[in-house]
Amino acid sequence: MNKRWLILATLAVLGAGLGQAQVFTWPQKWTVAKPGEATPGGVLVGSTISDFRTLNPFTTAEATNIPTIMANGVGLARYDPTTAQQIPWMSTGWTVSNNGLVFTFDIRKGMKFSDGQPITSKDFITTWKIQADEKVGSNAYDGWYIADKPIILKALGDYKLQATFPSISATALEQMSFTPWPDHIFGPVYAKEGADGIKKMWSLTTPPAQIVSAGPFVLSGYRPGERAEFKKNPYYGEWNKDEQGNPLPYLDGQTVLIVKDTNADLAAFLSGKTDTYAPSTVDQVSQVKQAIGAGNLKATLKVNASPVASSQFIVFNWNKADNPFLQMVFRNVSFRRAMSELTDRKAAVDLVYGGLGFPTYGSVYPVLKQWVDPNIPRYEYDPKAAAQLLASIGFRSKDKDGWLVYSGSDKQFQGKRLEFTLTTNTGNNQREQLAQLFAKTAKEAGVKVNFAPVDFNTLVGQLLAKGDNRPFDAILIGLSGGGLAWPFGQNVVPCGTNLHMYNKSGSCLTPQETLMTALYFKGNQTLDFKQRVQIGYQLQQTEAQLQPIIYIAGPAYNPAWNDRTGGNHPDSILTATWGSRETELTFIKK
Amino acid sequence: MVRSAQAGASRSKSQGRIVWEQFRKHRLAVIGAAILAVLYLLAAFAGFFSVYTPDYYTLSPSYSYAPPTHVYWRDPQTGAWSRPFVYAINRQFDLNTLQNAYVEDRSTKYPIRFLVRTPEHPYSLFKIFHSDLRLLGVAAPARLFLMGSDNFGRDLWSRVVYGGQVSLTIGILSAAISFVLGLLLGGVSGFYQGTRLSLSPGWYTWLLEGTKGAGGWLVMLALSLAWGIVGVAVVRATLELVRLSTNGLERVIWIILGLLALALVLRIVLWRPLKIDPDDLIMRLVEIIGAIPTLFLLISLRAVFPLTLSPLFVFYLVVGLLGFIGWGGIARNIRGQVLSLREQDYVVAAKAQGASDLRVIIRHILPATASYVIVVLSLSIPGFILGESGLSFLGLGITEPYTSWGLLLKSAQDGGFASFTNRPWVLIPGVFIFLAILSWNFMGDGLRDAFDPRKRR
Amino acid sequence: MTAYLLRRIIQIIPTFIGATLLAFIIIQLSPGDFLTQLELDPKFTPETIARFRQQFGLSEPIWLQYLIWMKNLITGNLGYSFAYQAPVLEIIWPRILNSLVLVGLATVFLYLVAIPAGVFGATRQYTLGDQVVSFFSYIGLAVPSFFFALIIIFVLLQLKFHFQVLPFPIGGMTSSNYDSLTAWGKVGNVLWHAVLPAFVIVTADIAGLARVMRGQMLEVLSQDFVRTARSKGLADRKVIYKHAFRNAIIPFIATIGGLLPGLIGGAGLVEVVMNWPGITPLLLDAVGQKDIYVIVGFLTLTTGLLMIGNVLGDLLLAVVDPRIRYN
Repeated sequence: MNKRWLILATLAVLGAGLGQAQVFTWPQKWTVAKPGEATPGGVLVGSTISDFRTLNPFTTAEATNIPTIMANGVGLARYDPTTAQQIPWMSTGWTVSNNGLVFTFDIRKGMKFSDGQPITSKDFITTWKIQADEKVGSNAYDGWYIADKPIILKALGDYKLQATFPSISATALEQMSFTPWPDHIFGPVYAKEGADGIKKMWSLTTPPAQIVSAGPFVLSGYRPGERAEFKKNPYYGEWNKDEQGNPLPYLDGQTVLIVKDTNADLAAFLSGKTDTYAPSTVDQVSQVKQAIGAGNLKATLKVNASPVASSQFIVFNWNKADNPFLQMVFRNVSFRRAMSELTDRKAAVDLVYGGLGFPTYGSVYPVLKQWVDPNIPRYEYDPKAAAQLLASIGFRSKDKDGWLVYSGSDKQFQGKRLEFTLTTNTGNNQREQLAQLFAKTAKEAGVKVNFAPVDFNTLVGQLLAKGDNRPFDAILIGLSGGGLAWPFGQNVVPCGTNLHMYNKSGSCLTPQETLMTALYFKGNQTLDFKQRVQIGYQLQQTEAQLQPIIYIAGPAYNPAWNDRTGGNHPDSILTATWGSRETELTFIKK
Repeated sequence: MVRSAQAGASRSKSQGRIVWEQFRKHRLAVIGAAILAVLYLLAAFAGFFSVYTPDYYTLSPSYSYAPPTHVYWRDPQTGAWSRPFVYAINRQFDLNTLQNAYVEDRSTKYPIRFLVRTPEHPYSLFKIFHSDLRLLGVAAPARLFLMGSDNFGRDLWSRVVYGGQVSLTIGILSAAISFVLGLLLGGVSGFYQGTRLSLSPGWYTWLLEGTKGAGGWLVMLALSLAWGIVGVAVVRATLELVRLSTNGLERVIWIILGLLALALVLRIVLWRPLKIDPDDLIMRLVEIIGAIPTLFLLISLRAVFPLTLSPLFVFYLVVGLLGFIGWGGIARNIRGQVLSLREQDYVVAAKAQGASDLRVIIRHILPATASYVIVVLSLSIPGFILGESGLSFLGLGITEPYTSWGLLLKSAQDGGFASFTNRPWVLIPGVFIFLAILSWNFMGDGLRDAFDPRKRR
Repeated sequence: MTAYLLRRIIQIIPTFIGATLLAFIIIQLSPGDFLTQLELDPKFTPETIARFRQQFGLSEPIWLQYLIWMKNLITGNLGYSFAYQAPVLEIIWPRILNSLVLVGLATVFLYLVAIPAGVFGATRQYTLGDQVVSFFSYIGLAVPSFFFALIIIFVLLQLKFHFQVLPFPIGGMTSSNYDSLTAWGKVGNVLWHAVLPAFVIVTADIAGLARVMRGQMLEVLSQDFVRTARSKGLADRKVIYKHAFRNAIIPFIATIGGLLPGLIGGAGLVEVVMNWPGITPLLLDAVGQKDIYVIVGFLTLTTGLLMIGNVLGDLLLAVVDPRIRYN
């Protein structure tokens, strides 16, 4: 917790006076707009690639969904993008018990839902109860349990909330930053009909007038497959103000177009139909840049603003009981290092991402700068070193077709060719190209890589197969997600978990895996940020030693916006993590 | 068939000659045929006409999206004529457009050589003859990109030539499959409409009938077995539905319905056989397949075959799927025509004279549908070439290392507007698709008029 | 005739079961299910996913899933979408209506252009006019529709860049001020958005239809009864439209049954590229995610319509062509 913020918030309360809302003031440093520059009114138009599925905040599962747009992340705490620290938002502050298990929040007074009803501890409690009910099937369900033990919430009066954690958790505050949904709407239904009643609520055909939000926006219209329209929540501005005391959001509303085709999405931005755009390929970036350069479009484009929060990698299967030769090869750390040295990350960035990308060397995404250990060993493209490493494990000579064959100490594998199949999912161009590129550089070193893309579901099935004999050789895929508080996956790092992709025998096979598992839990139970970062570094060092996964590269984040819109982030916080703007501080220039 | 007087008058000429003379009158058709001949020739001898193997590229130096190589006939400085030559190019990155830009290195001229041997890039013709003789080539480090290169820096011309092998073959093979199915099923359906086929034993009725051979018994037993399985399935389904029921009334309804269904099965097994018109059967099948929009049928069927380990297998799969999708409409149309034809006087007359069904179908009915078949066949081959590109657009078509025009066009589409403004040469595969489809259509049109005696001039 | 009609209607039942079962099996044959995509998400534990599977009824055997679905269908319930967490009909119906607008407009365009073009070609066989008409109708056919749509968007963008005008909107179905328009304004607005996508769809079909029409027309024109009519001195126009045209149109009627599901089947990839909120983008998602009941529910609707359409087509055929008997 942060004492300075508690004081600031208290000051704000005093200033606001009695009977009025306790105001959360949005710092000027979160926007490039000059004080007083922003004008109220206007509609921000954006787009999303997939259709909206539901209005129900408890069952929604899409990446971009209507409840999230309405709420815009409103919760007890939020991150300050300039410091990456959590600060009070719907609360005025919190205390943590000495054992680190009990969090007590002071809920901000004077907050209201878009229908004018006050927001109190009841709303938080009801939201928690519904999310933690397994019968509802909420995506937020797993977050409420730590090793199968539940987090317990308790209301201490209308404006105090207590959360008791079963064990210390580094992500406790992130978990407690959940958005409350109205108890006066969901509570009675949940009490009467339970989970089934909740699941039936707020479908796409529900009239927008019945939808209520705690956040800056509330739905005002939805046209199936076409767009969703939002208007501002008039009560939000009572407790959210800029430094001049103007109510937020500035915007009257927001429209999100559903554009399934990436070219149509680009065309919408180029023609001025949409205000914001995040081009994902160099061709799209280049089109925007050329349109701006030719004076056809008045817009701002930030090329290579930061890496995105995802990366692509190759994982080798350690569980190949029916092919002891490949199992022996894949389990050999020298082989994996050699493969890392046969990965031409520079060419990948150059050809696949058209120069707008970043090479990756470890499991922490490069965008999470505070978490990336700058000193981890990097195995750059070096075919000679790779050849030496391969020779050291027995691949010295080549057969008549030029492929390396085994002539090492193990008699049963004599003369076997170094050949394996690399798969990825069909339809993902960038992955397919990365795989083709790897196959080519490997070929030049005499390693035969057969590239065969398969259907996504098949790929996942293969990757997640358990046991000592799994049905693939090597897979090229990417993961995304991962928090700011502890960026290692709870079911990725520890042995025996679902996404411990290289070894799914159920137990650790190497001392490094055992160490990484221990470090994962240790870090996750360390509340002090600096200590946690050190544990993270140690984890990355261990991982680099083992090279269980060959990280390749990831694309860049290149946000663009029409110059009609103001109030974007200053360049220092214009990253994939924080985005290009705070919607609350965004305004339309007159 | 009633022959027209015109056709009778020219009987002195051979049939082939008449067709050829008629065909030649159709100017567009002749042009189409010529273009097709060139395209198929290029595809057949792709190894010879290509400059590089289709998947050849280098990473250093990289030639990503290099424009078509400028071929010089005159020295740019002196203006003197010479044999055609090119310059080597160097890649640069244009920071204004964020696209590749290439500059020529004018220090050395690299003459274009004809009929070169490229031992490092051998190829095979029809998988039988091995060779390394190519029509064109230049010495390294210069590169000859007749139509530019793709993002890896692979020669687009070579890929187009090889892609033609896939695209052009798919058209013909798929059309052949759907026509065999369509003609067969449509013909049978139309011709036998009205006759009824027994689908279940109906023991009582059967036993009352006259003589019975061993084959009859075998059929009866097989049918009984099949219906036995149906009976078991009915019982099983009823039990499950009863188990899933939430209240007593529902349970009772399911039991009653189950018993009724079982009684029905017993009735058609023991008492009255279930008779079905083959026309109904086939047309219902057409309806079932036709009910599913082509696009979704294709995608869903394609998804059934996930293990796309062999790209060659994918190729045959695409052919089979496209062929399978196409036959329904053809069958329905053929049936419509046959229905009308079999009532025609000359068919009725042939039947009355005791001609066998087979003879009537082959001699009288099928020839009369020829006009329709040729029209639709010539229309459907380009349709399948388009279908292949549609599948590629969805990422369900041919996979690397094979290539097709559809796949090449898809990568142009993926590039979006940059393909138009920054590297228009990647659109060239589209031109080939365009040419092939147009030519097939023109040729089909010409063939149609040429084959049909009634439409001659 | 009544007996025939009755038989056809009874036959709808097995066809219907066959079609839905086939669709069900095809979709289920491919690996994975709706929840597979969640498995790569670090947020979800395998237990949670297993529980979802149970809740969605995906852990039951396929035949039982089908049986349950069929049972629900009898009570008028088309099923429940996993992705949308809502009844299927609620999800697909608005999208089908959107498609209907687009494809309806395209079909009108198509018949208005293709049939006259075919008749024109047949009556002026081998003239310059015939060849010009064929050539232009083939051009549309020879460009893949998804690519043609991209070209159209590109041209629109260039117009916008160089002349600051947008004669037609880039994608979408309604303008942002749609809700404030008058009733006629709304119709006009939708049509204004539909013109270009409909144009793209039509260009791909015109050549096919015009050509079949031309072929049929030529065929009929050379038949004896037309020759007789002509030799009797009937006016050419009358021969063509009263005798030849009526006969030439017969094969079209046989395919009219396919028109209805074609109408709600949407405009395929054009809807995707030109961002028309029709049924195709929705179904592509559903197929990709294996949201089975959305697909099967949609197929149920199209099958029903197709079968009704086919019965109508057969009846029409009998009306137009007295030689065809049903008994």
